[in-house]
Amino acid sequence: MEYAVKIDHLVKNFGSFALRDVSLAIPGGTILGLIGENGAGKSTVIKCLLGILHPDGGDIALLEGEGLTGVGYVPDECPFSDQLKVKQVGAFCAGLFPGWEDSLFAHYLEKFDLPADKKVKELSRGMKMKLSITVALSHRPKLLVLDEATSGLDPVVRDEILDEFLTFIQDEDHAILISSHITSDLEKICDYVVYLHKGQVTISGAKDELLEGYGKLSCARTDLARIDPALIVGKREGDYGCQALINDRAVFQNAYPDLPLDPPSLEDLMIFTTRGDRA
Amino acid sequence: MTGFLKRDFYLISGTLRFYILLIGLLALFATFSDFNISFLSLYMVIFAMSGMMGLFSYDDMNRWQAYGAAVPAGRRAMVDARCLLAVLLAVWVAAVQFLLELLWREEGALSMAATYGGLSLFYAAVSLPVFYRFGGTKARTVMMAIVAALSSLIGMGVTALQLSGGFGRVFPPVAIFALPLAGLAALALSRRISIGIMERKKL
Repeated sequence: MEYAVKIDHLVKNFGSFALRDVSLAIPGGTILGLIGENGAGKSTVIKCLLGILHPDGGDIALLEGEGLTGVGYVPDECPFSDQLKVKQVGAFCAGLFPGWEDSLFAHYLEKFDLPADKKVKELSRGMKMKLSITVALSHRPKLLVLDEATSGLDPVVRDEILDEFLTFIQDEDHAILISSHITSDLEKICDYVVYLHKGQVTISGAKDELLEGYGKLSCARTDLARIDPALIVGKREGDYGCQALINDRAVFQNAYPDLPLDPPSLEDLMIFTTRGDRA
Repeated sequence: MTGFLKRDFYLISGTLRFYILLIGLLALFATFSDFNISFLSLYMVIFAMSGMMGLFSYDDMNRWQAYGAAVPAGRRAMVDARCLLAVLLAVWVAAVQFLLELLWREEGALSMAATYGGLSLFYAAVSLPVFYRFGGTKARTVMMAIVAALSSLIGMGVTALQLSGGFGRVFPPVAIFALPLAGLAALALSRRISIGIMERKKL
């Protein structure tokens, strides 16, 4: 499988907000992180991909025509009613997903310490999220789609879940699309990153290349003033110094060898791009 | 579709257990008093249908419809499952009604069962598109207005026919047995409308 997901020029208009010309591709065996501030359009992209929303334009190819059968979807909130027991969730999901395996469901329940006889309302937020992931994995999907799945979870649970994703991706036929504004999580596991800002793709590419290509500058106000504005993505000016995100580390270091650059984080890319947009 | 139906059944079973208990108590009360069993029949229709409509509130609480749209069977199967549940509930109402009538009246049991089974189907046929269109909360208000309007129209029609003495001619007693079939036809139409609403719905 060359691409698990291929989205070309996706358009979705809500009037006050619109996704404009969003394109991304997830090669098999990789994880793509969709980052962006709240309301940037991450969930809208995912909903268009899964047919929850109907796009106004563009092309979407899912698992090379296999469609939703091979998709495990984990929304931001647990979709299972509080009144249901965990084992009842497994029982009815067996009728929803072709390829469902009861033994796999039981395996993940045990692995995540989820009690089958408890009601969903008795589970913590972390456990509910684990239940959603258990359901998503129990029909052997090829693509996992996670919409803010790690938000609101404590670091221990988040780490446990991220480990599970890394195990899932060992198969080259598998892929993950994960949206989050917790960029530290994505930095740990993602191969590719797409940064959505106000409904448009602002930054896109292989995570390592992006982090190597950009640079974070900490300098004095006078130094910042002499830098070519075309190299600055965004800046933060304070009383005791300035910080800026530089879009081309190699060109910058040739032009200003006296100013050292630090490697940026995904959070830096997000924050400085948003600041640059506001400037 | 079986997955959606199972989920609905798990969710509604708790409510139905309570209603069955309540009906049992009312039936017991009717045994030792002059309590009119017709009220019990109407309660059953109301309990069964309000239990089903309560499922839409569960849907709203967990954004279930968006999740359901993202599973392979999708929106159409979601609607189909709920229509099938409506049929099963109508059968249940008719069956219990039949048993109660047998216990208390001995005659006319079948026609009463057909009446209340048919009424349940009609109620489901009207309410399903309304609930799919407006969601669990707003639809209740809309349904109150629809039920009030329909009851008034039917009441006026029946009164007019009775006053003119033409009720028996227009609705011969045997026509009551066509009610479940008419209800099924209405539900089939309702299913098509509901699927249309769901296909276009922004989830």
